[in-house]
Amino acid sequence: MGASIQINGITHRFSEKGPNVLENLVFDIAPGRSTALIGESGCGKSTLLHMLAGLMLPTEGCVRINGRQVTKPHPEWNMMFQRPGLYPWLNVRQNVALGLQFTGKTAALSHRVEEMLALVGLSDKGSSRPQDLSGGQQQRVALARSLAVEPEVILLDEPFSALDAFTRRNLQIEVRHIAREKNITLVLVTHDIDEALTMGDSVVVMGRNPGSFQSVMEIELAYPRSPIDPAFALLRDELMTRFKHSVEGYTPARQACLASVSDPTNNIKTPAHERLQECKETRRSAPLPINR
Amino acid sequence: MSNGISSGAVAIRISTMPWSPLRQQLFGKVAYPLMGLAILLVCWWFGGYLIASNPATQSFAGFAPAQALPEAWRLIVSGTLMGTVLPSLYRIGMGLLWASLVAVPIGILVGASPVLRQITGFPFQLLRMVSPLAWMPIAVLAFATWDGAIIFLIFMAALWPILFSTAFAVQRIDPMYFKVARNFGASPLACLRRLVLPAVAPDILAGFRLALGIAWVVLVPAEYLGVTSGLGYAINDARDILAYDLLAALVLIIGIIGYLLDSIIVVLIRYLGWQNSA
Repeated sequence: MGASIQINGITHRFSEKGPNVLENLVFDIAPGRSTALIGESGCGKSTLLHMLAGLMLPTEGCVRINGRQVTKPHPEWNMMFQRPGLYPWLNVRQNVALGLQFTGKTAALSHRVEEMLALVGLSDKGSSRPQDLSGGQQQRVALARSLAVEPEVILLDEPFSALDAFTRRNLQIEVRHIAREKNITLVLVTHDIDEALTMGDSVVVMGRNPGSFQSVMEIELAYPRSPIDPAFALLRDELMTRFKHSVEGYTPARQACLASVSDPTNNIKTPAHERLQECKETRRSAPLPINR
Repeated sequence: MSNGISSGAVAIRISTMPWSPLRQQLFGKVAYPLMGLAILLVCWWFGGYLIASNPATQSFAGFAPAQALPEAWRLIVSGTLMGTVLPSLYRIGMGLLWASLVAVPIGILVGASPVLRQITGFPFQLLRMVSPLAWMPIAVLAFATWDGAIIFLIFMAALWPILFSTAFAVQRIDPMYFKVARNFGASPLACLRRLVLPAVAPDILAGFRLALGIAWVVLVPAEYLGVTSGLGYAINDARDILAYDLLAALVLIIGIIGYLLDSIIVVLIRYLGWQNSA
């Protein structure tokens, strides 16, 4: 069952007196929906995603997943990174089981692992070493590892950017399909407009200096989506226009109109300062298990 | 014209034709090592010949292979070798065990904490540079038994290679692996068990191999200390009774055992080391 995500008035600075890298972010994502975040490099997309994962805490504001304030990472909302980060000393099967072992969910582990491998089409690669697999296969293993813990939210930080075009396209369709089947909420950070349109139910365009939501576009196309579909091409043009506007600079007027163009299911009516009241006091950053 | 081209092509084919895998294996694993061994034997034989043919050194003729090899065989078949080797293996085993138990946890902490690395950098480098045998007087004072003192010397010899290789290995772990572990809410203990220890295991074994080499070298002089057993004691005794054939046989046996122990570690590294599977 997918989870709802509330972004409540997030403002973030990397140092006490530093500039805001994210400012007054307010957004809601309904359970099972897929939201793509696009924007220029340095607009804070990945930073925001790390906050959704609990790998980083905002200076002000908070994230709530299913009403629970995110203060640390949790297997129910886990992240897929640009690099799959598979452990080379484990085989594929053991890598898929890793999340279950870290979370102590070891009951029916082998059955679950085989099920996930079958889901991502790697049943015959269970005994292989990750370094013997292609980039696409490695990302499939990472996907199986994420899915094995039965997450309600999967956060995707450009996980297909290092792959060739064909593999990338296949994985985009597969991940979206699996997430829809299992009703998992997806949040995707990408630089690729086609990827955003292929996977997102809505696309949020972010501006930079400071990072802010500039506009939200609903993508009402049937899945699986094809870039050669004329409707897809029209949406791409519209998104490109919005993206260009976001690059031209931060416009308070656009920020203000966000609520009105926002996803109807999000129902954002409250301003950032009111949403801030929904946040409990949190630490500014969570420590790494080993201080590196 | 066409003949010229075809003969050239044949010449290229012959010159670039790869060796068959079997032939490569035969030379790489059997013929070349045997060749090296033969060269060593010839050098040994020639050295023995020079010693035996010089009236000034004639009394050391027992060093030659013709005398030493039968003596080595006599040691093996009479069973005296086991009585000599086992105490040495016990001491080296205990020294390495203690060194591993101390070096691995400290190495992990030093590798994981930049502050600890700064604090320990100078003292550890300073202590590392002290010859293990320089601790001999302190070992004799500090330990009630000779065995304890020898084990301590081996410990001092083996400690640093294991500690430094562990610390460097922890520093080199890909931060992405920690990110993945955190992402699943892994506890520090789970991180240690499922991430840090397996990630550094090949380097710990490589450090252990280095430590074994140093410890094996230190063992012989360390066993000159008081004890009445072990390879070091046997060599010292052979020198005292002028039994140079026995001395040469023991040197040969020390080399062979050292080589075998190293080979065991190499097999372990190959078996446990994930870096080889890439």
